[in-house]
Amino acid sequence: MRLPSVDYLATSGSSWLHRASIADKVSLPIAGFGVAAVSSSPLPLVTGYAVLMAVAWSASLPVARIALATILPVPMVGLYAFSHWQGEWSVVAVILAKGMVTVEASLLLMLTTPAPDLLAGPTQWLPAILGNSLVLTYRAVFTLWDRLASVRRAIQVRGGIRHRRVYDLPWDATGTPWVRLPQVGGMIVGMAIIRAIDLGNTYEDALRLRGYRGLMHPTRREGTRRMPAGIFLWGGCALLVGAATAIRLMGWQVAA
Amino acid sequence: MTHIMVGDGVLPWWISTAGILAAVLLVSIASRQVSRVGSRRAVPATAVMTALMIVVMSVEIVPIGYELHGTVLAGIVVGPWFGAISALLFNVSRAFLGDGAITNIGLNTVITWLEMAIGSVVFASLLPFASLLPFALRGRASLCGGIATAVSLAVSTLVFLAIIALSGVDPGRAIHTGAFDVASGRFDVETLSEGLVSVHLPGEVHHPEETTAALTPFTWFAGATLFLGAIGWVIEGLVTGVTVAFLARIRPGLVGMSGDPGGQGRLTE
Repeated sequence: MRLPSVDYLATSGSSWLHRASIADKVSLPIAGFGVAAVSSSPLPLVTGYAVLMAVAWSASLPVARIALATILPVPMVGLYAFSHWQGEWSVVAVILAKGMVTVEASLLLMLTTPAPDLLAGPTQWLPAILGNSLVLTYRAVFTLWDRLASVRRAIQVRGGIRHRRVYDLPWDATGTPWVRLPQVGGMIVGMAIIRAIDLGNTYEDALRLRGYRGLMHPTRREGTRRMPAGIFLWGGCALLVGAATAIRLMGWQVAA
Repeated sequence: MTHIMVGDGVLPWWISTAGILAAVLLVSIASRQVSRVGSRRAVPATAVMTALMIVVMSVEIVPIGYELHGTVLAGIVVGPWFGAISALLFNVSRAFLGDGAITNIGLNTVITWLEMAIGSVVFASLLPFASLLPFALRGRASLCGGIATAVSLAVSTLVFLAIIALSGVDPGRAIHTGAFDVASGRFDVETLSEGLVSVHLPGEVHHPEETTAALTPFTWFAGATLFLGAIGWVIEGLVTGVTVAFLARIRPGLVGMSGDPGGQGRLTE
């Protein structure tokens, strides 16, 4: 999922999950990771996936886009799964489902937490160079997206990437010949890099002039934690991981 | 292709743990190195190249399932030590933005760093030889960038395959533990059944049937990965080559090439 979309959903939402504190929402990736780590049959993984999807729905998140994002790693995970083919489809299903559950759990945290809140913790305990790089990376993604969007518009108004005359524009446009496409591509990426580095330097200078010392501060205080959300999230996390562990220990298999 | 996109709890714990330890060690060394250099201007460049990798990873060449990474390009611009920091940040972002597999962040950081470091070193090593070629500056930079990309992606794919091959191995079998049974955490009842010292012939195989059975799917996987990967290396080599050519013309200092009095020096030096 693209970072600008993630950032928009995280900052524009106002659901109970958006309002929950980050200390409580950390339970989501922990639940996903826990269920994936202990499960050896598809049942707890599918249950975990469905529960997390229900949480996403209750928080008014775009369920279809989340589902699509969880499916995207499937080809590569599937290749790995088939490389360990032992004649059982349930093994392949388990490997695929583990990937999907962890992706979904991580996305739920990212989609409901504004970046300053996410970065505030790491900038306090990471070495300064890592913390600074993390903050500037977050900013640079938007700069690059913006540059690439401009370039895309420029390509469109010049007739696109196919070398043909375009009649639906009020000016002469013939697109780009195939032979020149690599050169144009290099120019696009190169210009984006140079421009983004220059902007990054200016941005860092501006931050330091305004008193930035390598620490990000959350957008709201942790004192606004709401206990019902915390109890629900941590309780659900414990329940999911506990149930997956119980199923693993009792040896229940979905095929059985 | 060189990314381990496997969910948490699939790879053996000892591989994931080894990857995390290796990444912590790598980033610690890199942090010390870059702090010693003290190049504050390199931080925005590192951030931009990390961001570029995050943006580029959204582009997947669907028929072959290949995602462009831009890792070698980033390595050429920021160098190996800032590359380690960039690799960690990239993989953390990647894990939370759609790949999951938080436990594989360490392994993926090491592989990404390998791509960046090898690409950077090969590019820098080829440049002096490329000056002998009858090409313009852009052509030489482009050629070196393309070759560096292909070499580094080939090496990192082999490392990736080695890790996948290891992941199918029981650590109890990979590391000889004598009479100690790793699964049960106990010693065999007949601990000294083979005597105090046992001599094994080199290359002696104890379970030939298991080795043969485990070989077939992995060989298929390795073949598919190398075949599809090779197509991806060519595409990524082309993209890196043309981009490096542009940077060499506009701001040669950025890719470690001097000769432009108006250009800025390399940010990580």
